[in-house]
Amino acid sequence: MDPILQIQNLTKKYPGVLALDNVSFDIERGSVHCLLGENGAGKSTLIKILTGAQVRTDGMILMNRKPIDAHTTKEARELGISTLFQELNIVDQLTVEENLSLGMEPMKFGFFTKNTELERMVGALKHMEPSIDPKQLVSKLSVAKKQMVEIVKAVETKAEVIIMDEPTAALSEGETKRLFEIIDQLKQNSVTVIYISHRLEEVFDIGDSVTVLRDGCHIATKKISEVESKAELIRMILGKTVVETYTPRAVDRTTPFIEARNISNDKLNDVSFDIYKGEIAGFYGLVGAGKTELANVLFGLDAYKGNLRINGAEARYASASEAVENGITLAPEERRSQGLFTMLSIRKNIVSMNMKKISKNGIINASAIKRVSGEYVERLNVATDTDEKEVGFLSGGNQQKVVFAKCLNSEADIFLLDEPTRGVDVGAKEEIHNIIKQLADEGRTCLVFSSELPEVLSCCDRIFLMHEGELMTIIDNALDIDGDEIIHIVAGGDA
Amino acid sequence: MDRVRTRGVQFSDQAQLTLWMLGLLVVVFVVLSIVQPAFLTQGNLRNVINQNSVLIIVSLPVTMLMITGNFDLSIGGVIGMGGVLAAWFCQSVVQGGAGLPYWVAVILALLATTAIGWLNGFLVTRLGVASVIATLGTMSIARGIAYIGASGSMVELGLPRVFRFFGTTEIAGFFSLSMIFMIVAILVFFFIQSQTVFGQKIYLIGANMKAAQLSGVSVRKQINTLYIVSGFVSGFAGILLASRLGAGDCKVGLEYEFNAVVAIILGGTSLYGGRGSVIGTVIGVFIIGMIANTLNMFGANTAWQPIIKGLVIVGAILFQRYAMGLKDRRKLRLE
Repeated sequence: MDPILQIQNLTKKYPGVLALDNVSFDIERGSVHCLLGENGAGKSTLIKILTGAQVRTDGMILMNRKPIDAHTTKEARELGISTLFQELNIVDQLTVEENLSLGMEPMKFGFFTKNTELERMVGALKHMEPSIDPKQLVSKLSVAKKQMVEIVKAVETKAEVIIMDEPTAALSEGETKRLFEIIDQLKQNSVTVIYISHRLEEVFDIGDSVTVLRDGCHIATKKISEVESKAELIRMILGKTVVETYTPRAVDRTTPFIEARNISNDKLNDVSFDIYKGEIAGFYGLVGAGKTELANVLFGLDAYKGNLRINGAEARYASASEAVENGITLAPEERRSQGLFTMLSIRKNIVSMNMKKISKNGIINASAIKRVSGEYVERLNVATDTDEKEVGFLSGGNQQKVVFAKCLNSEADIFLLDEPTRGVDVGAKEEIHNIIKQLADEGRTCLVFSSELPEVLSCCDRIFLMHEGELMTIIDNALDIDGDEIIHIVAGGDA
Repeated sequence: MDRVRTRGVQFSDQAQLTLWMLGLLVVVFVVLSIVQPAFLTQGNLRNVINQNSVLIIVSLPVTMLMITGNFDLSIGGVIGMGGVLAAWFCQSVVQGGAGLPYWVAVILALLATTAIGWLNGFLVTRLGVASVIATLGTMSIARGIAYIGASGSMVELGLPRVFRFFGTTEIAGFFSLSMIFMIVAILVFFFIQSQTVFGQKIYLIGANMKAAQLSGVSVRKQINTLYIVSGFVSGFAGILLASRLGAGDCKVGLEYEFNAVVAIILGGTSLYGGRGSVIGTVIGVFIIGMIANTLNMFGANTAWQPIIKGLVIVGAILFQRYAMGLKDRRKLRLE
């Protein structure tokens, strides 16, 4: 064992959130170490601390067995830790050569001098990818080639550790293969790569070891050779697949309420299904499976090919306002940036989706607003002393309840709920699941889009399994359902 | 953690800020009355209100646009254009005008300025041009049209007598027509802002445009409407000013956009949208107007006024940030 990085009892607290909780693991020199976890598991916080973008609350990081403490990304780079961010750190308006020399520009009397270091870098780049002209503007390069420029820069500035944050997210298959060859070369030169990806296949392709984080905690660090299957990784990422408890509900399945036929666009591939009135349909899949995209199609936000009928009538809405008018409502995935008006009061948020209810001929009725808002605050049990409080000051769970109140008040027939319990604590989670069940019991149709298996297992009548934009299969929920089988399917295995 | 209830009446952020500004207005009023006794005479106070009435009228729709997070810098140019076009359309043919009846001239001028408002909306909501840039462009276009219509100076000869009606009529020996229009406009815009669905949606758009859209608000329609109203109102203001002057002057309305923005911000409307009120804007106009008035009476060089206005705008923003920061910190402690 020759660890280059040793992370010891690392803890990071944000106000009200424990982003990293006493995390410890080692990273072997010259290895490709994969970092896995759901959104919000603590991966990015860990990376931010390693690269000096955030300061840790507690714990230690040893590099080459010496404690390090980077306070800026520049300090981290000087220590030998470079990062390939998803948003590449490269200046489009400059040439390849100028980008390579950024930050080192040797000067004499204010003039640039000839630069042997730059020549070496250009040489290395030529060696890696002869098709890149150093005098070329970076904006003309593909994402893959931009990455190569960044990698060369990192390697030639003596980086010992290169962190890659979802490097293949925007790459084609061929480009991904080429990147993996480059990563292999890096390994041979005993550069360590910390590799973050949502694509589990890649972990098996190039990883040497893997660390899984969940809810800020370290779950496991293993050699890839010791990992049995993709399903084992998914189980570690998602946690135990124990179900709250699903109580079978009676749904009248004679006439379908939502009929989708061959829905396709650039993110969805030939999706067809029927959903019945009063049903809770759970769309389950990993990140990138196409759940949000399907919600967007139903809500009139994205164009599609195919046929969508709601209650027998064609439903092709040109905008969200048209969808709302037709009785559809959406609780978006990004609660703060898309679902709420954080600078406005709870009251104003709750009535925002249905102004007709609180007005007559366009003139609002203040007492109706107060009544409507009070009703939902009580019904959904929003914890606040007054509904005139700004929503931005509420906790995640209470904010989500306000989103639900807003949707409920729209008196829609169809509820699109995208990740309804993300970032919500356990207690509020169960409350929200109960609200969903209530809605369905009142005859409203709920589509729950979730990347949490326990969520769909505990509250959905049928589970629609998605993988890379396709609907793989539909399963009737039951108490004895096999979680492993579901995981196998959403990971791309046969249905 | 213990929850601490605020004692007494609770005001929203907005109301609180407006109260602060009202307080500031009172302080300015009292100070000016003491340092310059001539300030506190009926004639002078009427003068202050009358002089600022047109600025208030044009600032009201701009306030609403700023609450949605959009600027309208075209108003100065549009005022000039509205006045010149109204004059040119009714100027006698002999003098080079169109020779139309006055009421037709007014309608045509308003149609033209409303079209500029429509163009602003189109550029901002359809083509996605930043509102500052789009309306800066249309300001220049409108001013250019005014220059062409007035051949670089004024349309003043051969105007019908009725041309001076709006600018010279007085009611009860005190109220000018523009003061009446100002009062009506304030009431209408205050009603729209506080009592209508339209007004509520303005705040939703400014607070979070994406969330507003996903909540079923027709964001484009709303912003377009406001730009069109702003074009119409600015054109009307131009006609009032031309009538007061008895001529269509292509230089009328210069710096109105600047004065409007200063007053709006001073009145507590956020540069980033989501917060603001038309009453705040009225207060803002009067604070600046009273200071300018007193400076004039002291015979202060007019060159000083822009400097003072500049200091006021920077000071007002810093003050607001301080006041809101204080409040937020207090709130956080209560959490």
